[in-house]
Amino acid sequence: MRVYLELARRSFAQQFAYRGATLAGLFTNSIFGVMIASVFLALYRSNPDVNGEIAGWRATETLTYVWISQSLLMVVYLWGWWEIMLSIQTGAIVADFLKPLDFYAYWLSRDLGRAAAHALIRGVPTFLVGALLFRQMVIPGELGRWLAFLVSVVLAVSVSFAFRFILNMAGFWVIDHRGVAYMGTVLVNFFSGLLVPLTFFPGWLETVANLLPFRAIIMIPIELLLGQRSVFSGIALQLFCFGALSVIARLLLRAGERKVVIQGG
Amino acid sequence: MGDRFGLLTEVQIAARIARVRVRGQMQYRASFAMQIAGTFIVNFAELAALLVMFGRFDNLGGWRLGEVVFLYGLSAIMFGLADTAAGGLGTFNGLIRLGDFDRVLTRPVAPFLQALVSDVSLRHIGQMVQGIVVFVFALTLVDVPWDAARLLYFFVVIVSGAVLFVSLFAIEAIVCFWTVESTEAVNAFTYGGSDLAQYPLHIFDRWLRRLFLWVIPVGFVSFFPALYLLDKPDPLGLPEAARFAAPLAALAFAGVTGVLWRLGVNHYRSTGS
Repeated sequence: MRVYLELARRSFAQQFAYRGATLAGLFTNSIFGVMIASVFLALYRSNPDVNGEIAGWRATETLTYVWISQSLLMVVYLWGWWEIMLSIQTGAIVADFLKPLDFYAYWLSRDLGRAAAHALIRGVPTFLVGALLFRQMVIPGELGRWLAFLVSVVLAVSVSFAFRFILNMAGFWVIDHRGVAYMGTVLVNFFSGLLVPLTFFPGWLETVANLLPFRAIIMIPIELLLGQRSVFSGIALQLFCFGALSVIARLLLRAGERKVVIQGG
Repeated sequence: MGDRFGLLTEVQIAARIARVRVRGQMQYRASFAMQIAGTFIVNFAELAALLVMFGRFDNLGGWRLGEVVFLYGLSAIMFGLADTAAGGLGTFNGLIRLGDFDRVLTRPVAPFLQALVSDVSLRHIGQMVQGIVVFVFALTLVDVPWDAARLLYFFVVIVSGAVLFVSLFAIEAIVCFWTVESTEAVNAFTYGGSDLAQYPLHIFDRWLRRLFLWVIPVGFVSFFPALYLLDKPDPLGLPEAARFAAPLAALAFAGVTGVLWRLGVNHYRSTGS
């Protein structure tokens, strides 16, 4: 266990090396946050007939959704993580297999360390920018909700990691990752609730979204923060998604491992 | 930089390099097809999001679904075209970091042309085709009073928009002459600009509107031309001429970018020791 904590700690520390990139990223997240928030505010403003409420969300709550999802973006790291796939392509993965560590836990602990750093240097600052620019935003005062949110974010990172791990496993079978990357991006962007809150979906489409694990990555933490879902149901669902995806990930890993050994001869 | 050929010859050489790169990519047919398919569907998530929003709301700042999809398709086409043409600029940071730009400078072809064709991402054509599909879908939702002038201006707008976005990609590359670390900030203007172009400009706050009109003239290549094509009143109260400013705005911005590029090349010190 101590090894995994150390791995997480190192990966955490690594993220602080890129100061310029951090500031640049914060700027970009903020501009996007302002744009998305403006679109939602305009939608509420130009449709007085909805009485300021869509699926139980007032504009002030939708603002919280916009800024929390922008802040979570780097933390759950949805796009562009192909480290394992690249190491499959270069063959460096064989060295990782030789380490006396559990391969899955090795990468998970590194990813959790990275996520903790990104929460501090990207997540919190982005949310503060949003809270300063949009004062009408709902910011819950109950400590309990924030605690539930925190636990839920850790689980969201874990679910996102498991999904990214599965995508990376494709590297054992295909040479070019871009096809897999695009498909993965479409699924996650839409069904995690990153583009529009899942609560805004028409009934049948929300049913589809509920059958997929992506809700656990963006929506559930936000729902817990806004107090729109019981803490138990949210956390249980996330744990289930993480467990199920991890089983799939490990099965793929085992199949891939065998393939590499055969190639190695 | 020693003797150079005439500009025309240089363009021909660059075009030939581009052809070779395209042919190279075609060698892996299955992978190539998958990439095109991928870029084709990736933006449909955004269209689906738009449809979901309009399932709940009936207009956005007075614009109906069809009109917003029209604007979205228009900007997706120009952005896809720019992305296809400027793929090489996206990998420019590697060219600088590894010191490979030295090699570019010794060749007798304009460095900018070489940078453009250093990587041709034909797969982005999928994105452009997706834009066209969305645009055609929009045409089934909204009545556009097409006439010869509108049709002609439509193509002018697409080219102007592509020039503007290629210039923005170029600025991201130019920043690399000074720092290869902070280039993500430029994404706020490239991808941010293309996102903003999808929505009616008047819904944004004044500072954001000013930024994307007068500093980075995204509004002049999407929103204002769309007002003309759709024959809608201007909620911002600019003179009528604003609707026809697309080519002028794009050329002015490209001119400024050209000057910045020259400054950057002069500032370039190789990473090699």
